[in-house]
Amino acid sequence: MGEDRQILAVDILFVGGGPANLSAALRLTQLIASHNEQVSAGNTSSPPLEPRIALIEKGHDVGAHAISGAIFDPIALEELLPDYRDRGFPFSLHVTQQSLQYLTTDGNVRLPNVLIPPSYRQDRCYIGSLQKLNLWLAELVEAAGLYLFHETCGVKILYDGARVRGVLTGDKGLDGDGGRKANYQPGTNIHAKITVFGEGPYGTLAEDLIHQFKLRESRNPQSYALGVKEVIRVKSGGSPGLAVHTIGYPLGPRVFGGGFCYGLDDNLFAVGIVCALDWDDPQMDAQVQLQRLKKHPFIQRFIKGGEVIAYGAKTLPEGGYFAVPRPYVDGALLVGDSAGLLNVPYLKGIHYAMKSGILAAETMFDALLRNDCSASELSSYEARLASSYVMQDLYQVRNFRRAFAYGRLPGLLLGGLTMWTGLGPAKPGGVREDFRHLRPLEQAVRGRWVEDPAQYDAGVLVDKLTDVYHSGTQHREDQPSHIRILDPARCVTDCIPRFGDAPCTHFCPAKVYELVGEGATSRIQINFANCVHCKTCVIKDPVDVISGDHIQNIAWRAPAEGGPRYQGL
Amino acid sequence: MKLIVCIKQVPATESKLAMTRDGTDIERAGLTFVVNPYDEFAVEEALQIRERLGSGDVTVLSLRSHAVQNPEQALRTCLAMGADRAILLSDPAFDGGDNYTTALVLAAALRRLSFDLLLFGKQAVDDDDGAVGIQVAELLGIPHVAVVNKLEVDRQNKTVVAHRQIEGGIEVVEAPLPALITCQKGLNEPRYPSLPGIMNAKQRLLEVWNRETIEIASEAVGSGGAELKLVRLEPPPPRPIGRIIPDDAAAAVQELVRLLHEEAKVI
Repeated sequence: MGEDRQILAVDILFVGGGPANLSAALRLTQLIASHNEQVSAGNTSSPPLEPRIALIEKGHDVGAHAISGAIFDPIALEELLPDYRDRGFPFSLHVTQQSLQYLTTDGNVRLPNVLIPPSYRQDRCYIGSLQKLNLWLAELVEAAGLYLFHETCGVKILYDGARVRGVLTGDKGLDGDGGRKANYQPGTNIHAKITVFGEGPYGTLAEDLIHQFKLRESRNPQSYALGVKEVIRVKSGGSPGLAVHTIGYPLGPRVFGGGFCYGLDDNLFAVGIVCALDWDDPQMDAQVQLQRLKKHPFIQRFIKGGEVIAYGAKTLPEGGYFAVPRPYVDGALLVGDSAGLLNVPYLKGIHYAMKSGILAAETMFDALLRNDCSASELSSYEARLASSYVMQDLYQVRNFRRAFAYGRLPGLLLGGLTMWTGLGPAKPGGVREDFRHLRPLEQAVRGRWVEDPAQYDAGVLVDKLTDVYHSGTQHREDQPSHIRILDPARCVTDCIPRFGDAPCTHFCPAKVYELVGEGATSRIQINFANCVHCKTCVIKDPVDVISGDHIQNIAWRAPAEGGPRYQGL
Repeated sequence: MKLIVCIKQVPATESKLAMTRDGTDIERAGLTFVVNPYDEFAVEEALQIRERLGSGDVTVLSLRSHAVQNPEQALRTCLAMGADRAILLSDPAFDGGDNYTTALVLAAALRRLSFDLLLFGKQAVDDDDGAVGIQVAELLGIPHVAVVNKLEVDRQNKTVVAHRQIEGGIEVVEAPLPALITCQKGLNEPRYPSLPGIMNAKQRLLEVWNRETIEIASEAVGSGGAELKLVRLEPPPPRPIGRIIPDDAAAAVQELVRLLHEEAKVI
């Protein structure tokens, strides 16, 4: 199959069209433009730079797979585009009413704002949709000359010895068995001097790179959370500027996480819940928890009588400072969520993604000037990150999440203390991968949620498949499945007996995994067309197929075609 | 052989649509737009004809209107697929028209171009009118074959043979060139734009033609020339909640048949 592949040579290749890579691309074009001005003014003897810059994005556009809360801290944008307000910036709504609520089964206690450190107050922040931010940034970088390839997915990293040489894009026009249809189009080998992986959390290629170069050696494994979110339209009574975060109900005492309810314009609310994936309960289901949160009287007062119009799910990297991999190798950089840059107590990562993009761009600009894209040249990226607010903030809160290992209330006290003071261990350790936390059903610490199932009312409370419909997800049914279970027999012989249920049928927020048949004939059916590309399954799948070198039973690779088509998430 | 394809950009089929407050249009903010899927068959067919004959050129034409978000992008997609030339018809006078004024504008533009074969999608999936292509043929005084799922071009005899799926069979129609064809699913599998094709398309200039270019009176087109007025749009009625019939299979089937017969009245 290799013989008919085209080669496309560029100088810089960005893999993934999120805020990190789009900011990097924009910064790089700015630096090049001002350098070239200096050259034509005769102020420097270096030659002008005219690199070819390309970005590939697997979604239909750069917004289609983008989902976040999103409360947006403009600190990095102010650096990137000081006049952003005059450049068509898509957000206008500021946070005006911020509160943190502790929810009991049917009540709520407002925690005083004084508990929130001043740097975490959201007054300067905007409420908006990451999709719109990405689309806006993409417009700016396309105007600056970047080549943007939508619906183009990186499937394999190309190497030249130990140097990253680019990526191979996915073959399109394959049928369900992998055969070539009439419109078969082989993937392209894109060669680049530097490849930047900004694929979001648990990026398919970013994780390959981290594995290949052991970039997390002597650091913690990455810990993740799963966020699920809906946009709800009410007939009247919107609360633009509302930013409520909740802890407590409906999550059990051992689940680290919480809910949010943001008021948007046009009588819209964004309601979601974020649950750390180190939960132990094999029947834990974040989409069900979201419905239970929405049933709570405190949330009902905002969304009662409303209608769900959008849904999405995505994992978040929560491992913090100690789980940030070495972010460079020969010919490649890692940015944003792919590098684990997210602040858990602040509940934000977009500004870190953008800042890491800016720093990556500055690093690449120097590398292009010196015509040196080696690891030693690119290592200055790590130094730049370390001396920026990104790693300094993350160091301050490095022990926040770890404190919650002691349970919710001790976690609040300890976590709050470490967040305020920056105290606690300065070394990594004490963290196991999320999938290792699953326990058999009868041993799991469970909330009361099993006895109190969510009830669907076909209005604002919806079942999982209805939510999947609202995600706009589509994969051609006659394409090869991008999800495989390597050893299907082990689902029934090992996983289900061990845990007392099939955890994948619960942890997947899009009903991709379904247990069909009974007893000896039962098996897990994969409804890949439902997949919203959240990556929960590869993070939480508990079955080791090959002992020692942990390889999970679920293999998820980004498909060459399809995925969610998020609107306003 | 000169081939011209007329295309429209439409909201992606999996988009969730909401009505505007006055109920006469859909909200377009936040929707993703694509080349109308039936028009993609038309573009692909034109490219395949050019490839089969080993010569010819493919021009793509689109009309900017309030219903379309970014017609330039749709035209660039066609260039990236392999079209040779793209023309955008854009003028404030074209706004507020209907399928008749759209056909008038397209026909006026097409009179300024030479062609052997015109290809349209059988309908745009946004308004589902399916009326523009055949009106253009009428205005230009050329034969048309609609809803075609197989096409053969005979360059020697200057004819096309088009196959149409009809109730219980296939209708085979021959027409002299120049002719107009509207394309149906099954005609081909549209190709994916290649990465070099996309890079190339980004650097191409689009031709923009306005009212003066095609010499058409402003009162004849747009809202002034429209024969149709959209009164109201209504969303389909919400789907009622499904029902699960318990019981063992045999009894459940009995009950299902009874419900389909007595309640749903479909059998």
